Amino acid sequence: MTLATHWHYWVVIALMMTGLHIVIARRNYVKKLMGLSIFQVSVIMLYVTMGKVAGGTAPVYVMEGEGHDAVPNLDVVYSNPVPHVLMLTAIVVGIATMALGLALVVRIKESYGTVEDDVVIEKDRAEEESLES
Amino acid sequence: MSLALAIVGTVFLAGGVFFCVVGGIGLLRLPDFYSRCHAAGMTDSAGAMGILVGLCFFAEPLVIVKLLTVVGFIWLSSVVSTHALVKAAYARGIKLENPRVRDWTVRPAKTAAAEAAGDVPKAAKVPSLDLAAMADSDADAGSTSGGEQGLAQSHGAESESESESESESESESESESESESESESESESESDDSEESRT
Amino acid sequence: MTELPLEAVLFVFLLVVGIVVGRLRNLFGAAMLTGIFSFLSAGLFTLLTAVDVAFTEAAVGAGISTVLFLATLALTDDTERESERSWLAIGVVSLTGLALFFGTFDMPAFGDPDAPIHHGVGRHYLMHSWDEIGLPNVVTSVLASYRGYDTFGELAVVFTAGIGVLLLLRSKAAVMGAKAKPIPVRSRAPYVREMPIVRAVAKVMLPFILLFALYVQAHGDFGPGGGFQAGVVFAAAFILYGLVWGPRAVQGIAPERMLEGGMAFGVLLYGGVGVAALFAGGTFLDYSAFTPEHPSHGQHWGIFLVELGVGITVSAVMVVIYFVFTARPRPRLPKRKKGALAPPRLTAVPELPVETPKEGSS
Repeated sequence: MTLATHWHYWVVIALMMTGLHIVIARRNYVKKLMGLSIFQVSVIMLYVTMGKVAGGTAPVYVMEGEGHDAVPNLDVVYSNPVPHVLMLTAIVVGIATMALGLALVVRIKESYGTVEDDVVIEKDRAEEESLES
Repeated sequence: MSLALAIVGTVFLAGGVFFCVVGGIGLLRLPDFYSRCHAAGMTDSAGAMGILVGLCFFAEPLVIVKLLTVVGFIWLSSVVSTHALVKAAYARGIKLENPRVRDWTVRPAKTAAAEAAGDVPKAAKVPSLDLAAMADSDADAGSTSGGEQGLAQSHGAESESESESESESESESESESESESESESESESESDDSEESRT
Repeated sequence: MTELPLEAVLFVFLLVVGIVVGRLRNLFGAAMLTGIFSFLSAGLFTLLTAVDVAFTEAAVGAGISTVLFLATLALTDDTERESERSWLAIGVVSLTGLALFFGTFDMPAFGDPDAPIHHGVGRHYLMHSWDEIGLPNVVTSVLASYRGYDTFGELAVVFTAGIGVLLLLRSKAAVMGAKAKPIPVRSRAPYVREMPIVRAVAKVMLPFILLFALYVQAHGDFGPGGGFQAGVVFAAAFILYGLVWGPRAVQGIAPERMLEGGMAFGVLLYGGVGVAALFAGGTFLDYSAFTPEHPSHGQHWGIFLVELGVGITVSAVMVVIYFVFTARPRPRLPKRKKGALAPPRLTAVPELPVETPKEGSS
């Protein structure tokens, strides 16, 4: 019974976990950011599925009448616009912050010569040891 | 009348779906990159066209205009992007799979070398075309020359015209001194730059 | 119920693509797949009636973010090293997944019209926004007017991220800025110069893309669209120009100074409209104060200006981000070996890779 009504959430959670796994298990920073973007899209999808109303249409008024006298038909079922608004801005903010992350990756590549997590940590450690001794 | 329209529309839709499915199968089954590109391109052009035109028969006039506009833009953009993709792949040195198909764009090495050097030394007998190695050296050169961008920009405009004609023929094979290959790669840095960002 | 099979298929595609992105070691391929992932999710958003979100996702995810990933890969490595399977990560992920899974049982059924989310402000917006704002697209009303503070904040975040990227990646030797030399006409990228078809088609399409961006900007009140989407589409036109004619060519028409100014100007315009509302006697971002005798006119003007500010900032930030990524010199690698083959160049057909005898073979 719950399968029919809740499977959207479950698939979205599966997607989210795919992204999360990439973020925490992969060593490559660019790959991590790709995982992050998958994670982000699935979070957006979670919000959008919650905003959906069965049989509802997009939250753009269906107008009745012509020209200036047109009035919206409020009997039509519309989806909830609030999650749409929040997620719309989240996407653009997401790409901007993603660009910031990628810029950091480029800088890391330039100073460490690699974008692999473990190599970077190793180099840091080696440097620390050389400073101590 | 509407029934006839619906039938015609359905025929177009079925055709579009057919091309999409065939394109999908081709993408999986065809042997090498270029023929796969052909399959993918067919999905875009024939498949999408069939479906969109088919939908026109069920739509209102304004929507028909919109659909046809979409068809026009898909025909412009996807065809051209396939073209660019294949050319980039070719420049990158991806081979044709089928040995029976001759790559007509590569001149037989004997004549090419003869044209370049005037006469062919006996020892330099034609090695097989090692495209993978060429692709490697391409990446190498790109990264080497990347640093000198500013430099290259200053004299790139002048030196380009010569290097354009030269680099294809002899200067490449006979770049014995380090400095020569260096200056060459400098003048090419711009091309590599944009090439990378395209791919 | 007709959406059900479509939704199911798209979700399966999304899952497959997501898993392949994780497993693929070739990062170029993975970058293309993230673009496909975004595009598929845009299709799904349309089915879930979130047309504005779908529009944004299609433009941002499939267009700009792919270009950014590729630009980054050109500056870093394009293959990932083998990483060992970490059972800890798998354990953490499955535990989190299970917890979330059990959490869903408390959630209302999918599409339930009585779900708590539909009782709050959402209903108010749907029922009253026509009287209060007077725009057919409720999303735009909420975005620019009801939740104008939110959007202002988001715009500030976009602006800040743009500044951050500039600070991180703009090197002293950058090609951009006041010291940049004027672009020699002949220094266009030879690679694309030898692709007349691409050039011609890009030339044909550019005006349409720009026109479409303006349409999206202006039509956001009546249908899906608005400043965010228009900004991204506008930036996409510039990026296409840059891809075909080389980044330096774009700087000829959109110098960095202008873009930096645009980034700030959009935010200022947004804030300025809010402050102007203060002077007109209302509260911050209360556009009705502009025309007290006819509040919805003031709302229309306010929303138009605010969306314009959003569009300007977003497009400027996107173009600037693209610029700094492509203008960054690539890291040095070991020099080309002596006598190694020069890179094959793409030219007109007969001159393509002519094989040359290697030094070692003679």
